Amino acid sequence: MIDRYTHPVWRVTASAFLIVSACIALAPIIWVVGLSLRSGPDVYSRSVVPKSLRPENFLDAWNQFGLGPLFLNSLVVTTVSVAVAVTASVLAAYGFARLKFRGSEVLFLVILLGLMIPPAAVIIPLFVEIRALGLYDTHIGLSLVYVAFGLPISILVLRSFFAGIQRELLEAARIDGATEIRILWRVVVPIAKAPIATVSILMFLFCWNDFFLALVLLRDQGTYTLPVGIAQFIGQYSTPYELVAAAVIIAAVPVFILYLVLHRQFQQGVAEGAVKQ
Amino acid sequence: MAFAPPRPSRIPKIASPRRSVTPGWLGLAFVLPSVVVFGLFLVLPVIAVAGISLLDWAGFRIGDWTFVGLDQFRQMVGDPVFWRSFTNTLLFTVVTAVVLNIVGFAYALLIASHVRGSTLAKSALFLPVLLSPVIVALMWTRQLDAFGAANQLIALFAPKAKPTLFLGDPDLALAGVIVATLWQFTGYNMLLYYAGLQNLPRDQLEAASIDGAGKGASIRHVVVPSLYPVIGTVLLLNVIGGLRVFDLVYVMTRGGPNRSTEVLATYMYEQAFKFSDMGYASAIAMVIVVLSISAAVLRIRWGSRMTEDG
Repeated sequence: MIDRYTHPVWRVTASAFLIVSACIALAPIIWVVGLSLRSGPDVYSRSVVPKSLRPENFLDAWNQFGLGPLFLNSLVVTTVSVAVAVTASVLAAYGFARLKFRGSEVLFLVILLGLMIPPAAVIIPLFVEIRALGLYDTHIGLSLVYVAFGLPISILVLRSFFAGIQRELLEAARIDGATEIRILWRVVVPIAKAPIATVSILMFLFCWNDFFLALVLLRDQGTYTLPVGIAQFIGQYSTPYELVAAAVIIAAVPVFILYLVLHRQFQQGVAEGAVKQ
Repeated sequence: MAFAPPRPSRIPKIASPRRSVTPGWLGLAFVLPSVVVFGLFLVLPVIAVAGISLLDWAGFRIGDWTFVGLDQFRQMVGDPVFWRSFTNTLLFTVVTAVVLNIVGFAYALLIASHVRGSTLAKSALFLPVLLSPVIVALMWTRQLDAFGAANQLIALFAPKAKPTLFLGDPDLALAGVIVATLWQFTGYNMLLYYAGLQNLPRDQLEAASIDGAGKGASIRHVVVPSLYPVIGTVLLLNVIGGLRVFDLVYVMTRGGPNRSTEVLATYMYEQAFKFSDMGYASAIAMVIVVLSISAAVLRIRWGSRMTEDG
């Protein structure tokens, strides 16, 4: 593309620059890993390289901050929210793309407006409403709110894919007498694995990483998800630095592993989700 | 309204509208679950926040409020902390949006040239995008404190220097939060521009290179113009992200020291959930709504002008 007429000197310089950039990007993470292994006075030393090695910090952090229950809560909330949001948006996107009805275009545009609304803007009425419904401090209430915020982008991505499916494919199934729900499940979903993966990844990242909504809609420590839990427990100044670092690393590990396995899908999904807006 | 599959004997007209096969209620039934959840937890709150901003209300009991009209907005105009958080939000938004766009675009150009190290840089720069802002905030709080990486680096060059408390200094704290944000989202911007570069008009680039246009010239005259829609999208995403910033500030500084990092979302949170002043907090929330929607409107206007030719 634009690499056609580039001088070797330029290529070497660019390479070096990119490798240094990668190191700078990773340096904060590596530094925190280093801190998580330090012990005693080494925690407060001015040396960049750790002089002590104490992997037990990770066990201590896990127990002291109760990371097990936090992980479990995050897992439950995220799984439920992703499953509900993906199911609902597959149905809705098919409706908007293929079963147009009077007012469907307007309804779709209203849902698109949801992309512009930041959680902070509506958190007060949401809090009041969730409490009035008896869903305050419950995972169901939090999941419903996640689904509402996840729907616009999910429907947008899926709708544009569904709209591009060849009409003949669907007509053939219709002539065979298949119901629409059966066509969606048997014909459309199997060829829509890529956009469904995109939508699931975006929704997973949103729910797994959310702090603000969970902070407001959950109260009891027993219901906290991982971000709220670590922010609340660790915010106290008395917590030892090395344990904070260990907890942060533990909290980040699942996403690291997923990214290692699915890096292509993550990069593609995040880019597609954004460009669609 | 009975639903009957078309009989094979009937020959369908070429452009027969499908509406005859699928009745309207069926489409509505498909979108209904989404519409209900979306309406209940997004549309209703957007309408309600405007209403609550006109009330004096502690938020404990529904109906237990006094209508005060635009009083909260008048109070806001005379509130120095509001203005502090307003200017901080704008400053944060503008600085992060500008820097992220420029740096992201530069990295996208670099990795699109596919020199050695491109894949590594792409993966490494993108990794922080996936982390929860809470994790990023906790990491950077440690890097920037008295015993953190930043002071260790300073100590390498000036061993006698007293440690700088970046987040404890009203002049430096916002810069600290901005640095953490830049670290997290550079890869995001890079990736979006990289995706945009994949869809460049190849023929125009070739024509430019045949005409002997230099690298700078083809970037300026071919690459940048055909990326206008992408630039618009990325700017909008950064602006909306900047206007809603909460997590990093809340975890790193709680808006302090001395309100020096207070932003609209953290100030609104404090008014609503610490001082139970739902009315005033909703008025602040309205400012966030108006700013976000203005950004989107600007983007749509700008986008329609820029994409007319393609």
